[in-house]
Amino acid sequence: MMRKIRFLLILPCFSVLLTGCWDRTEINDNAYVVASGVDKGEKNKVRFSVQIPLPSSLGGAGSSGGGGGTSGEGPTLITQGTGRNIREGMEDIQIRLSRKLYFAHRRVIIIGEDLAKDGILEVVRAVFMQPQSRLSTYLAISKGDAVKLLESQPRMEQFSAEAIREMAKASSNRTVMDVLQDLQRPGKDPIVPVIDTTGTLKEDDKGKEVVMRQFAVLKQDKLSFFTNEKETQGILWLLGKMKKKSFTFSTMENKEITLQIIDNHVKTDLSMEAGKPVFELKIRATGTMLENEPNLRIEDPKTYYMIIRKMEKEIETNVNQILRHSLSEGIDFYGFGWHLYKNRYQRWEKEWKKDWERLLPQLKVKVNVDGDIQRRMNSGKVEKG
Amino acid sequence: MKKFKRTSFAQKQKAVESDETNKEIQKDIADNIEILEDLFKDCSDIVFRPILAGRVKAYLLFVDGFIDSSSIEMHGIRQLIEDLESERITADIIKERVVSISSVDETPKLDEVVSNVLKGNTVLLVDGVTKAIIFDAKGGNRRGVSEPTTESVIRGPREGFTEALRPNTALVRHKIRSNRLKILSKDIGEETKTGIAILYVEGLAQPELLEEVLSRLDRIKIDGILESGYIEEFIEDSPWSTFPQVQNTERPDTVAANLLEGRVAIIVDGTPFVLIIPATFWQFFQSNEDYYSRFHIYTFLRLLRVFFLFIAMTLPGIYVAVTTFHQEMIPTSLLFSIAASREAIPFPMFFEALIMEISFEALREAGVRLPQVVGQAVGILGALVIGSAAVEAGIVSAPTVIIVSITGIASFTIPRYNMSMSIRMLRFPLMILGGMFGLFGVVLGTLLVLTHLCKLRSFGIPYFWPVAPISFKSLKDVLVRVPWWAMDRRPSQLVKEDRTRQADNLMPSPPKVGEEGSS
Repeated sequence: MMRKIRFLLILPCFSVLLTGCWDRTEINDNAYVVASGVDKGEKNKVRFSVQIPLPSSLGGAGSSGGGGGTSGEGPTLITQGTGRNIREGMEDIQIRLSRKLYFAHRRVIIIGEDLAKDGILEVVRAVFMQPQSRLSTYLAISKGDAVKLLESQPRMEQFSAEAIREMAKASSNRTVMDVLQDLQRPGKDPIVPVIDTTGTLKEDDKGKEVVMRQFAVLKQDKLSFFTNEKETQGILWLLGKMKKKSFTFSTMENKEITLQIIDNHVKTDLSMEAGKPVFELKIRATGTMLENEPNLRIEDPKTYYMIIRKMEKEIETNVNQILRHSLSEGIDFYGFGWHLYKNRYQRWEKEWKKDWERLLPQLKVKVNVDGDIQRRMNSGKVEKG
Repeated sequence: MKKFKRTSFAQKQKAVESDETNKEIQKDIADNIEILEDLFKDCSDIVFRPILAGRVKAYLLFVDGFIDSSSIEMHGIRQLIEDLESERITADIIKERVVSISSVDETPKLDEVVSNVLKGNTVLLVDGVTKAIIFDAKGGNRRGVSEPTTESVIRGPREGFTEALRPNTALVRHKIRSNRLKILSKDIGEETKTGIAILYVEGLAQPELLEEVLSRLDRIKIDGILESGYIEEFIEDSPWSTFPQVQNTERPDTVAANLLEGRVAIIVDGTPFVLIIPATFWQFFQSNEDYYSRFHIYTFLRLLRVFFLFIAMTLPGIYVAVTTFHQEMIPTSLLFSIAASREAIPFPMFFEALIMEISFEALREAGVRLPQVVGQAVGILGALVIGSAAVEAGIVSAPTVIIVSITGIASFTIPRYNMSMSIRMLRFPLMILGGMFGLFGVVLGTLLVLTHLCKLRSFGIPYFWPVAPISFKSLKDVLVRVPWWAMDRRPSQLVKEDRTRQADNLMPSPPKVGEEGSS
């Protein structure tokens, strides 16, 4: 027994000798990065910027701090460093900080427009390499410089990273891991949401609010184009992300119907026509009627089918528009090639893989929308049949 | 040194044995009284009460305060002596004549006279008779049966053991009115001669267990036993373990329930705390009320207790580990809130937590020891000073205070105080491990504790049973409490034969509606 105790007493002494294991850091010795932005710098350099909330001015419960908000600087520290690669940019920031940069709480990475045109691969790979970072970090491409977005101060949240995170989660939910996977898959190009600053009341490039209303369509890892309003909705339909969003379409002149989408999924059918692949996308869209401006009676089958046809038409137009635009530029964001890779592997390897990009503009894609309005909120005043 | 002590103790014993008390009782009462008065020299509480009954001289010997003097009078001893010829006085006659005396015995030896007087019996010495008559007229003032303070219940019997041995055994006998309930008696302690009763139910308690208990009790050679805690430390399997291996209780119903499960109880004179052996780990998380109230609620409460067992043991360790090593594990907003409240704190997280935990222990200890009037002041001081003032002064952060209070509350959910204490002590090494090695250390420490628990035994029964070694049939009374009609078997490790506790199919159901009853 005594021998055992003596042995146990010796053990802690060894642990002191193993000083390599002492990687203890206090909470207040770390600078918690919540968002980082990467912009193109001069020549080969990148500008790496971080957003760090200042604990003393965040005003956590129980502390006497608090406030901040309105007084000038805000509760966050935004700082930028330059370097030949991201890691060097990071070190450039680190030498100016008293606390150690800590990336495990980073939820948003913003890539500047200019850098995205040159390719985002290095940025996402840097996230992947660094064990501290999360793969579940949301990725976004900014219009203009990324640091501009970090400096924005949405009124709703304590700092912009939180606002961007919530928005990215609600819109397309694309994380670094999704983008990395898309880049890795043959016959698939990634899409990334686009964020921009705006004002609270009107469009304002220098405003303090954040808006996420477009997608950046990438060719391989290089930014190709930003989508317009219709194309954005087309992408959301194709990704099956319209659920819980509202969808407005017009039935007659200046009379619109708004639906809350409760079900949206897409089925991909592949068939062969003269040795060439033909895709049929079956989009299922179900909604609840939220607003009925033309005051139509949807209980009447005739009216119902009229509305449904308009709805299907609208969705089809949106989807076709983005498909034609991207396919004509040789971009396959939906992953038709990936579908072939999975289902017709042999022929993909032999025939299509090599010049898939050249084949894309001629690819035949049929869009088939199956719309449905399952219920409505209140009947309202019914006038016409 | 040790050896010397042992021999001196043996020598002393020998000296006692060779003393004149070993002598027989003489025919002349004056000789006897002389020897006895010499033995009880300077013992002012020993009463030598001379009785002159006709021609016969007699003495009553007893300890003042131990006996009920009025009952001696009522027994009519005096009358008895007057009536009888001195030669014919024997214990048998008193037994026959006096009903109200529960036990009457006689002895020819003087040392037995001494020991019986000290036990609280009354001894009658009659001139010309070479035998002393011993009878039981115990009385005196002792605490009455009252509600146990350490194990309070909402529903359940309100009686608790007292300090007197016989009333205590009677309380158990009240619960189990069976001739299979056996009560063995023993005296331990060279000086204190403390009475000890060993209770078991014949046929349920395994004979090997009983034998082991008796042999471990026989081993004890000590000057005095003042509380059952003395016995507990002498008969444990692993004296170095922090975990209690003997359960103690103040409640006769708990003792009765354990006896019916084949365990053995030891009642020690002078304390209301009765020992129950063997004990398993999970037993300390059961309260007797679990079995009296509805099973749904107490199943939930048992799960709650097990959950809070882990909280009480590991939460401060996990808190220290996560905040100093694994900041990535804390949700972002919580992290900022912790960081914000810690901004002005001068100490590392580990010391902050340690300061709070130690002051909490000190507060608890102060509350237990102090008289109740002052105790309230301690409570106010603790709540005010340690609770809010320390946070406002920037000595500790608010999250740490919350963690410490949750840990404190968690440790109070353990129904048995001795287990609660040992669990509470264990969180300090876990905290140190957490502060040194992070979660790795906490896991390592918990593993060590678990390994130790699995290795531990209490009187041959695995301490962690029925979880390890696993026994599915017995699990129904561990994490959950199944309804009474489903507890049909006695625990398999404790009872080998006669395991049926109740008849089959006792589950109640509404009466079947007869054909004429249904329309």
